[in-house]
Amino acid sequence: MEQKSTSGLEFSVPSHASMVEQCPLCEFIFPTHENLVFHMMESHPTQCPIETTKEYEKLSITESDKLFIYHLKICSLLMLTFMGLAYVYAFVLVG
Amino acid sequence: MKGNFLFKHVSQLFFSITLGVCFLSNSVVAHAGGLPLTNEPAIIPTWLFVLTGGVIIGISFLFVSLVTQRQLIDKINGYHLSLPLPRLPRLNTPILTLVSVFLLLYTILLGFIGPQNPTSNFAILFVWVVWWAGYTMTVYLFGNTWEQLNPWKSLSTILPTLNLSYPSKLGSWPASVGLLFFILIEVGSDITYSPYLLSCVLLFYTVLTLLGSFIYGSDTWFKNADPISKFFRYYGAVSLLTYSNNSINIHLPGTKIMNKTNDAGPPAGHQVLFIITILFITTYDGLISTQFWNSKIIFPLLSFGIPILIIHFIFLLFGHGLFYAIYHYAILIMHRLSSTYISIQSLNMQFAVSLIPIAAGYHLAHFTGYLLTFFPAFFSTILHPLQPPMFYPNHLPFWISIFTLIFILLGHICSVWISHCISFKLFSGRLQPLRSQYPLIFVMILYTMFSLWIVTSPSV
Ligand SMILES: [Zn+2]
Repeated sequence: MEQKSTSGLEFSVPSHASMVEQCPLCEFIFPTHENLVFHMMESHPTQCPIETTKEYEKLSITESDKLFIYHLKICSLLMLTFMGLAYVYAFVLVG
Repeated sequence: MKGNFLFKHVSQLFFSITLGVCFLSNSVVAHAGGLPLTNEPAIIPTWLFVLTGGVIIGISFLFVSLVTQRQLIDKINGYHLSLPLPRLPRLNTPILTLVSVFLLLYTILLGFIGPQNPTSNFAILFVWVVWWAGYTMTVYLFGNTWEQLNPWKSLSTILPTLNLSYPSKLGSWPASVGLLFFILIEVGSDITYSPYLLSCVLLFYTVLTLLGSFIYGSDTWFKNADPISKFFRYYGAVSLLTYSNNSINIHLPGTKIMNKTNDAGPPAGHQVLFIITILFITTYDGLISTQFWNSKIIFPLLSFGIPILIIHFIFLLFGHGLFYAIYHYAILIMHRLSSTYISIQSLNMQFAVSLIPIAAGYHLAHFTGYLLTFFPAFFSTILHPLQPPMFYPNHLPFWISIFTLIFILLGHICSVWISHCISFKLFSGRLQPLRSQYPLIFVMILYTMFSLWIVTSPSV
């Protein structure tokens, strides 16, 4: 099941897929409703119905929280990397 | 909303702290980087140095993933510095055409009648030092001018044409095969040393190109099948400058791709192959100059009596296939991770352009020293084409080798950024685009380490 879109992208839905959400304003399709709401607000912010805008606000708060945790993980990973590297350098330069 | 506010401040704080640490560690790396290339005993072992390179790419991804607002990404890509363009007398296109055609004929002629010593022959120095090393640099730094300068295109426009329609099935295949063939000749024959052979190959390419454009028409041929034009078009797509009527805009390397103002055209399946070819040939060029490759791989094979051209042919085919397979596999995993309905083939095409800065950075690293060493020799062959004075290469200053490493890292960091921007265009939300990047980043880290190993290992 393949279709050509105006954006030059091709979409293909796996045969076992249970859900296909179609963007009413362009040819993007998504496996979840959440993805569709995000897409509509990001790609067509001026043409969105009010319900979508409200749904987006709710979803983006949840996502912001997840993103916050994600960024905390990234920052700790950065710190760990720097410390690890500094440790290896110290070890090599002394030894 | 409160979480958002807190998140902003905390991430800003972390950002500034880590930025400071990054600068410190960068200077350490630069210092370490120069050492293996000099004759002094290295303080930092190669493995650690290569590892540091990989870590820097990983860190650059972590930094980039802090930028998750689409407006901010657009703002960064739209940022440019405008400089007023001085009113130069407009270069007349017919004059430019005449000069480029004259240079082509002059080069071929001097390859045949000039001195056969490579460092005193105009043809060798002009083609390899000025054009292949220097001109290519201007293309990915300042923009593609080959469309105007290409002497073969100028020649082909005055010839008649059959204007047959170009078989769309062929796509970029002739260009990819042409580029691989060009590198096969470059590494497997004496073309970089023998002016006579160089002129023969130039003549052969001239006949082939004019024949192609005679059959399919000049525009079609140079747009689809000519490897050199395509090569420069892709490099031009990541350049830092855009010209408008009365100003020059300096911007990030990915800006042209993201704003679709490059002349490489929309992504298509066969173009992925060509971009992988560009990436692969720059790496192979470096690989074959290492002592390891020559003593451990080439010499044992040569001792079995296998001709050098066959050895390179097999490695080029195999290596090219391997590069393509690794990229494709990374895209497959990306497709799975990001749970999207965009087809694998489309992802393949969209992300391929993000590889070009890697090739450009590697090219810059590989050829800067070469260009600086041999450019004086080229000057003396302009003045005395038939009997230039003997050329004694100078030793390059120590800091050149540091720049080599910085160029490789910068190329990869640009790629990380462009790939990040593309993922925010294709995937929705903010977490999905970030997660989609893991496989490509992993490949880029390994590739950085491989490139750094190549440039720091002793060369022949
Ligand atoms: Zn849409």
